[in-house]
Amino acid sequence: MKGNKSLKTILMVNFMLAAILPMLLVGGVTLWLLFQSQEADVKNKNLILARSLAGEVDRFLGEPLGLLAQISDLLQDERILSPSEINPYLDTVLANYPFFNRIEVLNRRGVVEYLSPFRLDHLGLDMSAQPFFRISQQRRKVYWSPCFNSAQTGQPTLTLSYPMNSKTVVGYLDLAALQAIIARVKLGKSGYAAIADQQGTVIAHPHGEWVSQQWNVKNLKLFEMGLKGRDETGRYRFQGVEKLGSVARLSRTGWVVAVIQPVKEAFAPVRKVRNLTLLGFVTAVIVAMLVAMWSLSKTLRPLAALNAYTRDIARDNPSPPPEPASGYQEVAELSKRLWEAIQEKKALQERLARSQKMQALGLLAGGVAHDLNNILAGIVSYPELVLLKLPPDSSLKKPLLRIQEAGQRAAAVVSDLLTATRGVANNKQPLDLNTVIADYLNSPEYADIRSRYPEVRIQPAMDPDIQPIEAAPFHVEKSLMNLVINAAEALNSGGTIRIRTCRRELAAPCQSYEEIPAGRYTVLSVSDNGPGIAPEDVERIFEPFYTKKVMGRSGTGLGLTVVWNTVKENSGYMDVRTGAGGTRFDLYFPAVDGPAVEKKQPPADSALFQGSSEPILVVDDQAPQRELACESLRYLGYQAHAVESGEAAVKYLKNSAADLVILDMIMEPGMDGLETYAQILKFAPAQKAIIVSGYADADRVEAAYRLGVAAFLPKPYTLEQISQAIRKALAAGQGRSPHPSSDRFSPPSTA
Amino acid sequence: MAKQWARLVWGCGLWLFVLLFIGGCPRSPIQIGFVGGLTGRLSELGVSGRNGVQLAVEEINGAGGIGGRRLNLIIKDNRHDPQQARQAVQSLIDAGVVAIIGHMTSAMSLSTYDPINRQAILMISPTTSTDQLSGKDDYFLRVATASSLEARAQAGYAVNKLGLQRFAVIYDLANPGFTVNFHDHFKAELETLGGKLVCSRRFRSGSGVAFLEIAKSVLATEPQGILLISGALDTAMFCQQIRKIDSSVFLFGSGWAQTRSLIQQGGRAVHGLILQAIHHDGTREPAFLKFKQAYKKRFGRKPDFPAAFGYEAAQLLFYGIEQAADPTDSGAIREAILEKGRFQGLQGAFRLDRWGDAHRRYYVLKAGTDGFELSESL
Repeated sequence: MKGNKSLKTILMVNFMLAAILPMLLVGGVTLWLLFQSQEADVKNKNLILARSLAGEVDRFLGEPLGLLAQISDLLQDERILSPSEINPYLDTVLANYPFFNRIEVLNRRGVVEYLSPFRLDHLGLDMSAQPFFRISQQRRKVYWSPCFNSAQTGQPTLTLSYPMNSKTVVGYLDLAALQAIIARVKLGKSGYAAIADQQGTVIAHPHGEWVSQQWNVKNLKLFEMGLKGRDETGRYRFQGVEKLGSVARLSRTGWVVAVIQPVKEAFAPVRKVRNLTLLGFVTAVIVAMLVAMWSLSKTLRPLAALNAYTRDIARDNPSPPPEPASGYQEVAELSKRLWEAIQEKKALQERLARSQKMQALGLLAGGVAHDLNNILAGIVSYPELVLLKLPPDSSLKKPLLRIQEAGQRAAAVVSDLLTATRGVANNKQPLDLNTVIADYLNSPEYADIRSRYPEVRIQPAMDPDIQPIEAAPFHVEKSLMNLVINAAEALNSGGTIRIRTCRRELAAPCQSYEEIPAGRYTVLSVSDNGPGIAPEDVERIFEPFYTKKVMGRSGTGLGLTVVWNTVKENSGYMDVRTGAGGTRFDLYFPAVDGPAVEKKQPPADSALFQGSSEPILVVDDQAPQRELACESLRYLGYQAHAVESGEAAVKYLKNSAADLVILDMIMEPGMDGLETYAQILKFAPAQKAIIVSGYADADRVEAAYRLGVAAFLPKPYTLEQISQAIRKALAAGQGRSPHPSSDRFSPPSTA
Repeated sequence: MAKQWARLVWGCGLWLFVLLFIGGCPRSPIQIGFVGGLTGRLSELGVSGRNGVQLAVEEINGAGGIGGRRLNLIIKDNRHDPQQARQAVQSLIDAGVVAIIGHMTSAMSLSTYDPINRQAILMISPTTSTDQLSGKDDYFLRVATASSLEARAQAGYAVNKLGLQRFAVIYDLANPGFTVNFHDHFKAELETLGGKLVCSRRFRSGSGVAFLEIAKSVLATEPQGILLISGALDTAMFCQQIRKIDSSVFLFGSGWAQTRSLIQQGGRAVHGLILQAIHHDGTREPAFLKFKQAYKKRFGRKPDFPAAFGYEAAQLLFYGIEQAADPTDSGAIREAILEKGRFQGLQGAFRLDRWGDAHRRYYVLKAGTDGFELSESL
């Protein structure tokens, strides 16, 4: 689990990416475009303002220029202004036009001829070296000088020179006038305007010391561009503050007018929009996240429930929820499939457990049956031999009969055990169920039941049209008998047992006690109207030793297990319906085509068949069994010989003849009965044989029959049974019996 | 193994981050100050000197500063007023400057001499030349020579070269540290050489100076030569007035007036004015030509001597900061400068003696149409 990514995390991340990434991209691009547009807008507005201000300054400069032109015109005509009137005139002009703080009229040599305000020592000053005189004279046109320190005032000033033919009028501009123009500019909280002359020296600035101290700002890129005649807007850093400035150049003077604002302030609206947009974006992201979490929580809740459900299952929770709550079809289907798989798994586990139980039981039964039956053979056979020798009025007769009956009952239990475990020797054959029932109704076991339960009525209802089934008659009879006994015991105080047969054809699988696939069936039903079986017991009634009876008194705990295994052994199915109205067992056997084998009638007389001193070889690894067999054979008039192993039998027969060999199937060590017979046949192909055994594997018995064994006689056997078996074997004539199934002997009933 | 590698990568990453962080952090700039008269009639020296220092700082910052640290120049105006000067200097010291370039006039330097020495703040003056500050083991250094040398040279030239005997002196009391000192040394030398000072006329620079009246009164004493110990504008104005009355009297000036304004404002009246100067605009020294070009580009006009000396004073300070073990220790900077002693100036080498007084060659210059022309080199 470690290292696996959480589905929730992945879904969350993916959802967020899906929700936020496009928002981020689109939002980012939009924001960027918006900012670009707004920034360009702000810059453009600033530039427009700078140009507008430059226009205003230019218009303002037009006034002094016009004034100097007017003065020039007047000075050129002495009829208008006589020399003595010039200085007073200039005083008047200066008084009325405050943008000049000094006006000089220079002669051809650059010497001051007239001036205002008048000072004697300033009269006659040689200004020929002043650039404003030299350049304006050279170019013969108006000249705006750069800023310089006035000798007369000691303050920074700049001049406007207006050249005439013989004179030059020079006006000293009052920079305060420029200050007044830029002071009108209000740009935000701390924006301002400034003017620099053609050399980059500040001539107007809100901070007067910038002018008075003749600061030069040519080093600032923006002003450098402006001085080169490029109207621009740009950012620059000055004294640690980033500023946005726009410059526009005055073509008349070469000055640069700048509009400056701290960037922070200039882009405050842009920043406001950006912040609002970012806030909106962040809000959108948070909302997206919340929606994602809510949606995912909703989506993943069924999965979490499913997870918890599977965790419960993994912990083998005895009562897992039948299905997690889900609003989603897929999850619901997944839950359903999981539930089905779990149910199937449980069924498989139960089947496996049952199978293992049965296997264990089989092993146990197989293991003990041989020895037990050998032991029981003595208990059943010796009393019989003794009884035959006792006088009819012997007082020992009754105890001996009780010993014999006890032995037979013990043998019946062993028989049930073997029946309950599949694979024991049996023989399947086409069988008519009606015949089986009829035989049962005529049997002493049935009579015994009737006598024990006189209040119980038994109603057979047989369908004459049923098809035969493929089954071992003994097992079916046993199953019927067990079902009737159980029903009778359930109806202890009276009631009705119905025994029915019918044919049933299923077009589709039928879900009952177990799923019965489609097909043709011959059904044996045994029902009663008793109190029914408790629901908690229904599931387990077929388990070995699961009984409500008192063990050993009225049941062995194997009755219904025998029924179940009989059905399963014959590829059938079981249906059990029970309730307050009673219980019904339906045994579904696959119907087979063709006629049922006619059951051979048992010999009419049950007398012992006496031999005529025919030599019979008894092969058994156990001495008591050999002795019992020889005793019985001798009693029956045969000449009995016994050997302790297959190998000894082969050796014996090579040297001596025997009309019949009675072989024990299981012998240790060495060859078993089947192998021994096979070896004997090699040198005596006509040798007759029967097999007796306390327990034998069905396959080995079948193989023995194929070799030609005349009969298989389970231990313990009665004198009657052995005498009949020997008689049949000897009467069989020469050769092997091809498949003398009808000569098989059934073990004693448990009834 | 993988864990060790991860640790190594983490370690290297962290180290790189620290280096980048340290490298990426701008180091604090070194604060230096400039103080000079930036406003008023005598502001030409201050403005030009400031421009020269500004150019030097811009250049060195453009080259990455000193030891990776930029220089921050804080500029103050002393308004040519002793009280303002002291305030300006104190505000610079309070701002944490390691040294101050300034003042541009002797009077202002004298007014802040005590505070800078008391607070051990190095002051390098571009143009202060008063002898009152010569030969002192102090925090005051200068790149201009003592005015006594100039005064005596001027007297010697007038007497010995021009054969003049009668002299008048007009001097400005706005900068007495320089002018009185100059006057006294001139007089002493003149009299030593057999000349005679027939008139000494003082004035205080300002808008109300009666230039014509003073000129008339001086000329009335019939001097053969008139020495004007004043700034460029006042010198120009006096020359204008004197020439209105007398076109033949020899005119002498001081290095203080050696600026563009003298030529422009003086016109033909200043032609022939004789100066004993330690600066000559016409020199072909490559360093000066380069400086001239850079200055013109930066300020749109040619540099004059205060700009050049401001620039040189800044170079001296840069050298001291660069060499000092602690670039913020004024004393260490001073020691580094004095230890070197000899510097390559814009117009040739000059020497600083152990008192921090400069020794340079002198030029005899005559004002003309295009500026100051070299008469002879002393």
